[in-house]
Parts: sequence; structure tokens; C-alpha cells
Amino acid sequence: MICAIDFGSCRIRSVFRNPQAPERLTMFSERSEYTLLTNTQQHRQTLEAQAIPCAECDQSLVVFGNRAASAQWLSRVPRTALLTDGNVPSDDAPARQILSQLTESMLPDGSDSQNLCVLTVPGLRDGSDQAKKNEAFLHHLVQMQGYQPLVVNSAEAALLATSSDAAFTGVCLVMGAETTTICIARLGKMIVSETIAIGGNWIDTELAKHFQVQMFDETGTGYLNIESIRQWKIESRVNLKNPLGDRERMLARLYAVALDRVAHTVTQMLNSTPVWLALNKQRLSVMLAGGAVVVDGFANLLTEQFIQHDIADRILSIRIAPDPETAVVRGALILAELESHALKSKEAA
Amino acid sequence: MERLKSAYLLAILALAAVPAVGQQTAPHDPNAGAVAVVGDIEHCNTYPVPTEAALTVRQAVINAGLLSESVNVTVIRSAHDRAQWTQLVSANSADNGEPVENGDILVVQSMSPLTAPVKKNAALRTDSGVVVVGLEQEGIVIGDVLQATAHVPPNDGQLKVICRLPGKTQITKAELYHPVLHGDVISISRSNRTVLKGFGRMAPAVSEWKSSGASAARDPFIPNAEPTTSSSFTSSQLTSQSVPVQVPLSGDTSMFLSIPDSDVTEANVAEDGHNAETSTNLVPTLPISQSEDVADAGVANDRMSFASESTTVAPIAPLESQIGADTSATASAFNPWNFVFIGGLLLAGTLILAGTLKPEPDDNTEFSCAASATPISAARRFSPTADQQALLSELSRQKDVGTPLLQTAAKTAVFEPAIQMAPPVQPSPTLIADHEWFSGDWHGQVVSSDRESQVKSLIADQAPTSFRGDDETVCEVAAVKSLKEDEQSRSDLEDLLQNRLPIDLCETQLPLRVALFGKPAGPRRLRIDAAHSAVPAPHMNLSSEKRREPPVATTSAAAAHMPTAADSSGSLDRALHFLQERKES
Repeated sequence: MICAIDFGSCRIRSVFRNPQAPERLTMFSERSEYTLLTNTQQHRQTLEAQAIPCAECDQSLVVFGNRAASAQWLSRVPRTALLTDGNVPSDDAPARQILSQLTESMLPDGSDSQNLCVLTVPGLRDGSDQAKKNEAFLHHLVQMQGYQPLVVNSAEAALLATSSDAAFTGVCLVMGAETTTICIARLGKMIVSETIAIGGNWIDTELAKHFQVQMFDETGTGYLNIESIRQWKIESRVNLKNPLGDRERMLARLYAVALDRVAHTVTQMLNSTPVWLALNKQRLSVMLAGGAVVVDGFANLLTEQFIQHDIADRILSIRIAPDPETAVVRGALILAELESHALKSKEAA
Repeated sequence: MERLKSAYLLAILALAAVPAVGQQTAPHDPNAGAVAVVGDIEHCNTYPVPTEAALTVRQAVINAGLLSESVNVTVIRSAHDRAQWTQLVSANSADNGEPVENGDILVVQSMSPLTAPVKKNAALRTDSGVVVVGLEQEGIVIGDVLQATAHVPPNDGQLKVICRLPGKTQITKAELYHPVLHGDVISISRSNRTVLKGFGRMAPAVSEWKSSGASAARDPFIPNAEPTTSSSFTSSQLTSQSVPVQVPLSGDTSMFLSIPDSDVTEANVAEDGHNAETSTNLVPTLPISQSEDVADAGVANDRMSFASESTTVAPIAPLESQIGADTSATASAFNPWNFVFIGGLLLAGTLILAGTLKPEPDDNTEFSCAASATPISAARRFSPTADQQALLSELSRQKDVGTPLLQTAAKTAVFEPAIQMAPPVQPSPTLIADHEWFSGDWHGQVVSSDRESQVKSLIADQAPTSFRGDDETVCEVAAVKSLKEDEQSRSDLEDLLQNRLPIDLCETQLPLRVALFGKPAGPRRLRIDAAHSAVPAPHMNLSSEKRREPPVATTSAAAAHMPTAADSSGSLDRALHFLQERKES
């Protein structure tokens, strides 16, 4: 069985070929968050009546995955991320167990001898202890399901999924919830890669802080209402190039700040020696993926930043992937199948 | 002896000349230039750039006075007509050490609420420097700014608003009647700055004007425009002027710009005289004329004494020269250098055209092939190569003569698709099956080469196998089947690469009830407050001073009697119920 799983800070997605119909893909997608409810009889009865899966821990009820949103109305606190700041939390034991539960539910049963699973790891990939812990934990989760895990860079995976018409050569940028991953590749082989700690959650948090979009629980404790900002972004169909009102203007500024950092990083990567040796001054296509790029005017704003950083003459085109949110996990599955072919050929040899 | 005397005199002369030369080459200049800071800033102005220590962008902005917690600074270099980069600056942010340069314009935009009202301002960049103007009144247009700063309206395309704060309507083609907004940077530069450097450095060819002495002409486009004597603002004024210029409205004829500093006036007078001297010698011409450059070398040196730091910045063009540019251009068209220039342009255009019609270079070969990957692969999949065609013809010939080769329909059915589905022998940059796919030490190369060699060997060995036993033939058929499966999987992978496979989004089957260990951390708290034990009195009519009364410290005894949040949760309900009962009774 060959499958792929993308551990994102906003969603966890897994995909594999349908065993009965290999020409179709089967995908699972669950929100990587949970809702805390007080463990009362009424809450239990409500969850049971609506057949909402939940967990019990420390006098609380926990609803995780996609059902966390549907049970949100029972709670006055916002949902909690399973991967806080893109990291596996060390102070939240239930969150780690929920991650294990979700992994077990989203990966198919390994059937044949070759069980390979390609996974992506959230957070920074800077070689720090936290990054190693993240990778080791998620690696172990996949291994526990009987798969041979293989970690892949999310930008590299997105490049495989989206850049076939550019001969898998160019710049791929995945702007997720917590981090933005950039890679430059030639013919499918990654030359340089960089991850910066800025993403959609930073923009939403700053917007919520600026406009004081908050919610309060029964005891008066305040929380930032990030979900409200996300809903507003979806419903208002903001265009970053034509912002209307203070909130949209603020959003456009925050995106400009984030993309300024992205463009700065791309500039450094393009000027690095490995890229210079591999690509010289070849003009590159930029492919965008990730949930944070799904906003009107994103590509135009990035183009402006590239112009301001004097690298527009190195860019051939800027495109948003046709499936920006699922491109990473699909690319991971492509890599898994390629790896499977290679392993088979080695065994045959 | 005479030789000794002459050598001695020469040595004395040389010693006497050394300090003079040193004074000329390295005059003492405490400031290397000036930088202008405009936008949401407390003191918008031009600030000198010290030579002894590098002044960073963050220092320059903080020296100008922050009006909010954090600001976004857009840096415009003197050699560019657009923003170079932006950076966030706050009181406690780290300094990235990026130094400012002479002629920089820092446009500051507040990223958080302003703590004090900001005076509206803008910047005007000319060839002689940057002028910060204050926008005290509403409705000030670009023409007012130029009139107030005694600048001649430039030709078409030279007047630009090169930077405007985000969120405001951008101007693509600036006109004199366009309003000037807070934080705008207006440029009337005649010099050939790198405008379109981002798009392949295709900067438009702009003639370089050499004279500035004829700028005293009356501007026909601005009403009540006074004749200007020269370009008023120079680099010396840039550093000495400390008060932003207040721009009057167009209709207000009583308000005129007055240069506040006497030094500036003296400098103007001195430079006016200087310009008067040089204006008689300067004529507009193209910069490629080498003979004229040589002839005007002295003039160029004089010009450098009051021009900005960038040597590419040309002085303001004389208005007569601009109006009568046709005649001068006609006169200069007979210059042989113009023919050389035109010939060069034609040659360059021809080369560019030839370059676009030429096939892609090696680096882009993969792209061009990949762009047409689908038809190529589709055609290749069902088009056998020369070897395979020869083999097919041989096989058909053998079938015609009734040889026992591949007499069974099953073997024929298996074999023909195997040949048709075989990958091409010729190396090509396709996506999956060739060497270019994951070049280097990646597994794709190994896989494809193995598959090709297997297919080749299988095809080559196919004819001899026809004379072997039945068992060997069955093995070969199995091998062909495996290859067919490989091809099928490769085709599936191609579909996956092209995102042609439908995706079924399924619902995850989670366990209905599980037990977890540990205490959940919960969401991140914004602030942690104790529950309000008592509802405070109405405070809407209180003044702000009374509202800010310090909280009364509770004693431990009072705290002991303080009801908890659980106790007080129903206190409001009880109070309302009591009031309701009393009202009913």
C-alpha cells in the first residue's frame, strides 16, 4: 500500500489510490484542532444524540477533527490547535494522543509487503531540537501503522504535483498556516529550500489583535477569535489589490509584509551559489500552493514584491496551483509512487 | 650644479603642491548627503547622512520620531524610480544594519494606531535633490507643489508619483492636476533612472539634457507661474534646509513660497550665477556624442559640483530646449554618431528578433518539451521506433510464411501491445520515462534505464524464443505482462502528475468514544482576569480622570469574604428576581 499524509497546522490530509479502483484517489481531510467541553451530562447526551465522536480526559470532553467545528457552539472557548505554532506540543498530552488517533484513522491498512507512506512535517526545518522532535514523533506515528515512513519537504511535494508543464523546474512556494516553505528545483531535483516562520495564522492573529476581535468565556478570560477572521476572509472575498475598508486594508498590509519577507528569501535563494550554478540566469516559474494563497490579488502582490526586490527579471510566471490546498499531499503521493517504483526495480535487480 | 638647483626647486614645488592637491581631492565634508523621511512620522524632513558612522534605516526613522508602535518603511534609492524594499521598524525591533544612502527617501507608514496627529507631507524628488513639502491644506495638486518649490513642469513621462502609501489609488500617469496625498513621493527627474529594471532592464531611452540655464522661461501650463531662475534646490540646500515647505493652493496668489534660510538664498544666488555662466555653453544633445562630451568636459565638471551624488542624474532640461527640441534634434541628426547609434539600434533589434525566433537554449529545452509533453508522449506511446518496426515486419513476414512463431492468438495479443507500449529508445526530456526525469543520482534514471534495457533485450530476444520450448515462452509472456503492468502503472502515474485522477473525499471513521490521558492545554489565552465579583456602577457620565481611579486594594479579610466566581454566578439573577418580586408586590 502506498499512501501519503500531510500533517498541516490547519488540516491533516491523507491520500492513496482506491484499492478497488486504482484510477481514483481516496482522500481524508481532518482539521488539526479540538474543542474543549465541560464534561456534563447534557454535553454527553448532545454528542451522543448527534453521533459526534469525542474523547474524555481530565473531566473534559474533547471533540477533535472536523467535528470540532460542529461542536463549537457548545463551548465558549475557541478551538485548540493540535500542532501549536507548527510544533507537536510537549505540554499537551491529549493533543499528541489525538494526533495518533487521527493518523490511525486516516491511513489505510497496509495490505501487501511494500507499505510506504510519505509524510510532511509542519514547522521549521532548521535542524533544531524542536524540529527533530516533530519529525521523530510523526515518523513514529506513521511507523506504528505498519508503514515505512519517508519525510518530504512540502514545497518539493507541491512542485511535483504542480510543475509538470515546467519540467519540474522553478520556484515552489507553499504558504501554510504557520510556515512558508520555498524551494527551487531543477528537473525535479531540489537545489535549495528554506522555511520561514510566517503564514496565514500570523496574518489572522495580527488582524484579530489590531481590531480586537475577541471572545470571552464564562470566567472573563479573553481569547483572540481567529476563526471569525477566517470566516470573514472567506465570506467577504477580499481582493488584496483593491481593499475596501480598514480591515481589508490592514489585511493587504499584513500580506505585503509577509510577502516582503518571502520575496527577500527568494532573492537570497536565487543569489545563492548552488542555484547560480544549476540554473544560471534562467527565468523560473513560481508555483504557489497552500491555504494562505487562496485570496484574490495574492499573485499580483507577490509580483510587486518581486519587482521591489529586483528579481522580477528572473521570474517567468507566477501561478497559483489549481488545487492549492491539496497539492502538497498529492505531490507526496507522487513521490511515494516514484519511490515505490525505485524500490521494486532494486528488488528486481 | 644647475641640475641640482633645478631638482631642488622641483622638490620644493612638489612639496608645496601636495597639500593643495589633497585639499582638492578630499575636502572635509562632515555629511555624505541627505536622506528624506516622510509619511507617518513626527518630524518629516531631510536629514544629513554622516560620513563617520553609517546611519541605518531604522536609526533614521527613529530619529525622525515614531508616531506609532510599529511602522512599515519603504526605501526608495536615488538611482531608482520605485521602492526598493520595505522593512518593519518599531521601538524594540532589531536593526538589520541596512544603511541609508545619499538621496534616499524613506516613506513611513504606520502599522498600528497613531499616538499623535500627523502632519500631512509629501516629497518631491528632482535632479538636484529631495524636497519635503508639508500639505497643510486640502486639495493641493502636483502643480501647486511644483509652483511652490519653483520647479518647471517636466515633459510628458517625466512627472511621476513613484510611491504612494498602500491602500490609496495609485497614479499610473501623473498630471499636474492630480492631488497630492499624504506620503506621496513625486519625481520630476529628467535623468535616466532604472525605471523598469524589474522587467528585463528595458529602461526607455531618454535623452540627457545638459543645460539648466534656460529654466527661467515662464511655464505655460501653470496659471500665475512665475518665471524661475534656476533649479532652486541643490544638495547644499538639501542639507541646510530644515523646515518643510508649505505649499499654497493654486488659487491663493497671496501665498508664495519663501525660502526660510538665508544661507539657502545665498547659495541660490551663487549657483544662479554659476548656472548663468554655464548655461551659455550648454546645448541639449544625446549622451552618445563623444565629441561633444569631450568638448563639454569642463562643463560636466562644473555641473558635478552642484548635481547630486549620482553621476547619471542629469540637470533640469531648459524649457526652450524642450520646446524647440525638434529643431535641435534635426540639427543633431546629421551628426555621424547618430547614424552609428541608429545602426546599433537596428543591429540590436535584429539580434533580439533572431534570438526570439531561435530555438530555446539548452536550459529551456526541458521546458519546451515538457510543455508539449502530453502529445509527445501520446504519439510516442503508439509509435514504434525503427528497430521495433523492423522487428514487427520480420514477425509479420514469419507469420505469413506459417512459421510456428507466435501462432497462438494469446501470444500475439500480448506481444503487440508490449511493442506498442514500449518507451522510445531515443533519449528525450519527457516527464517520467527518460533520463531527464530526476536527473543525477535519483532513482528515476535507474528505473527508466532499466526498463528500457529490459524492453530492448526482450524485443531482441523475442525471435529466438519462438524456437524454444513452451515453458520458456510462458516465462516470456509473464515478463511481457509485468512490463505491461509497469507501463500501466506509469500511465497511472502520469495521470496523477497531471491531476487527472478524480479524488473521493471520504469521511474519517473516528471512534465514537475514547479515553485520553493528561490535561488538555486548551486554547491560548489572550489575558487572564479574575471574574468580576461585583458589577460596577454606571460610569458613562464620568470624566476620564474619574474613570482611571486606582483600584482599591482589598485586605485579606475582605478577600476571604469575597464570593467566588461560582458563588456569584447567580447573583445577578437573584437580584433581578428580587427586583421583579418587589415590583409585583
